[in-house]
Amino acid sequence: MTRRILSRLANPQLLALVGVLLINWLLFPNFFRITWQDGRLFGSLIDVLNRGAPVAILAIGMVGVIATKGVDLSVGAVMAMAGAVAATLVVAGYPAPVAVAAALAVGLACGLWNGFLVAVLDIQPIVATLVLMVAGRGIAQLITEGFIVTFTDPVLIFIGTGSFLGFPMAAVIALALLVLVTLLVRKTALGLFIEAVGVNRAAASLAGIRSRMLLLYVYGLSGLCAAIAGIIVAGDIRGADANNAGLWLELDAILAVVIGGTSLLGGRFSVPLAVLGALIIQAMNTGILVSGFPPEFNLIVKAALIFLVLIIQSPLATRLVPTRMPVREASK
Amino acid sequence: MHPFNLTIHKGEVIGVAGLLGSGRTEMARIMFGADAADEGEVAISGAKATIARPTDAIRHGFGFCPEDRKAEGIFGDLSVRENIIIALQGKLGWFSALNRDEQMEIAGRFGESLDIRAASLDMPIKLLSGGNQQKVILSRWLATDPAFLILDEPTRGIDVGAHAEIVRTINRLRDEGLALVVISSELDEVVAYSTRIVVMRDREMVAELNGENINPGVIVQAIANHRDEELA
Repeated sequence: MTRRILSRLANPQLLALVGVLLINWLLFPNFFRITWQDGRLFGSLIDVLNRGAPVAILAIGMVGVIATKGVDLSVGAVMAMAGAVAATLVVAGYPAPVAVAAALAVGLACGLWNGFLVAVLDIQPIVATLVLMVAGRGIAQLITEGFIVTFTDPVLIFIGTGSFLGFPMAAVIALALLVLVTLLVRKTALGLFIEAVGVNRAAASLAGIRSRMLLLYVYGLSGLCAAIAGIIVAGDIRGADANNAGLWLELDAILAVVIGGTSLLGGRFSVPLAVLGALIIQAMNTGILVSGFPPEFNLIVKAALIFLVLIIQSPLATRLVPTRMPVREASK
Repeated sequence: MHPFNLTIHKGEVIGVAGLLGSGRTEMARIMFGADAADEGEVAISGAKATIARPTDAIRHGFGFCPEDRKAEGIFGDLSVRENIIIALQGKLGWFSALNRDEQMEIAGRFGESLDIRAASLDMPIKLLSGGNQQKVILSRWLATDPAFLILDEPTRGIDVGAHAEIVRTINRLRDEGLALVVISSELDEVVAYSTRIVVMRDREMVAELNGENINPGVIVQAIANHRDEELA
């Protein structure tokens, strides 16, 4: 048992995260300091959890899509739309739960639209979701009429900036989603079906898997996750910024999934590892920020990381050092 | 594809002979619901049934091993175990997942009865030989406890040992009362296990052979003959 836990801890993503955190610590000795103030935790590590939560949530939705050999480029735009909808509604006087529900519904509808294009019309995912990536931000701008819609609604602000048991609300929501989605795909046969469709859709259909329904599910979940991330980001800045909310975050989410070991060619996937990928990206961002390097550094370091991951996952490297996704434990 | 009419009984193996492109695979795919028929009806045990997609066929106890094993049969990156249980799991639905022990038991049982040579049931199926992959796909359907199997070129491109094992399995299943349709280009093999043979030519069923007519000579004649010299 201990041995199994140890071997699980020795996975490359966790080692990479520890490595990044150690480098941060060398550059900024106070990196690991966590303080308790006003009933919540503060510190760079907590900041990583808090700032990394939106991308982690996107990655939780994105990983299923990528496992089916797809990709969802629209999640950043869907974040902007969900934020715009929630902000506009609370400003118009609707109670927060209504605004949140409407934003989630918009996200789900966007995801199902993507799923429809991919599953029913058989459009390539990258093109299908590009439609909403472009149009979604336009729609968000139409909703906010080009302004940054600011609000004072305490519930929305709590979702973005509040804390639960000392931990930032955004991180708590991300953790809850992680647990929920992991259970959903691993305690049922959904995970196996998703992988089967990603590995060989023709064979999956002949084996009696309803691949269309499944694609609708995964894209719908991705849209829903994007909406949750959008509400958090809006609550965090106390306003909906249609131009900048979630801008380019789809790329961070894809990177997180790829760092998490899920191939863009579909197949084997892991939700927890995708979340670890998001944390690695955020740990680098935060590290560069707190250690006083100019933020432009971020892009270069990120590019270097992508390069490294691609090298590790390249066919040549896998031939030299045979590594696989860990054999999944089937549900007990 | 010309209209066709085929009645299949329990404990019967229908061999389908014909040249490549004669419509054998098309017929199989239509029967399984993988391709839509323009019109027609299906009756199972006397009751009318609708088979519009593979899930309908599977619900009625059908199974289908496609001709192109790699493109339509195996899930290369998934394990042997997962490849065996996937159709059964599909039949059970996503919510009632087989747990690991159940999966191992099922995969182990069929792995043994069909003599699947794999170092581990958890290894990716793409690492297995063609013959063992074919046995896995056959096991996938046997795990669903089928009443009717459609096998499209089940012995093409596999080693001698696996070939014999699959022929042995076809005989065994027939004796156990399953109904089978087996498409094969190997006439000696078809003649050996079939109880009836249909011959396809130019996307049309041109002959149905029984009893003494089940021999390679008559089949070749039927394949080559023109329509007006049809055998009955």
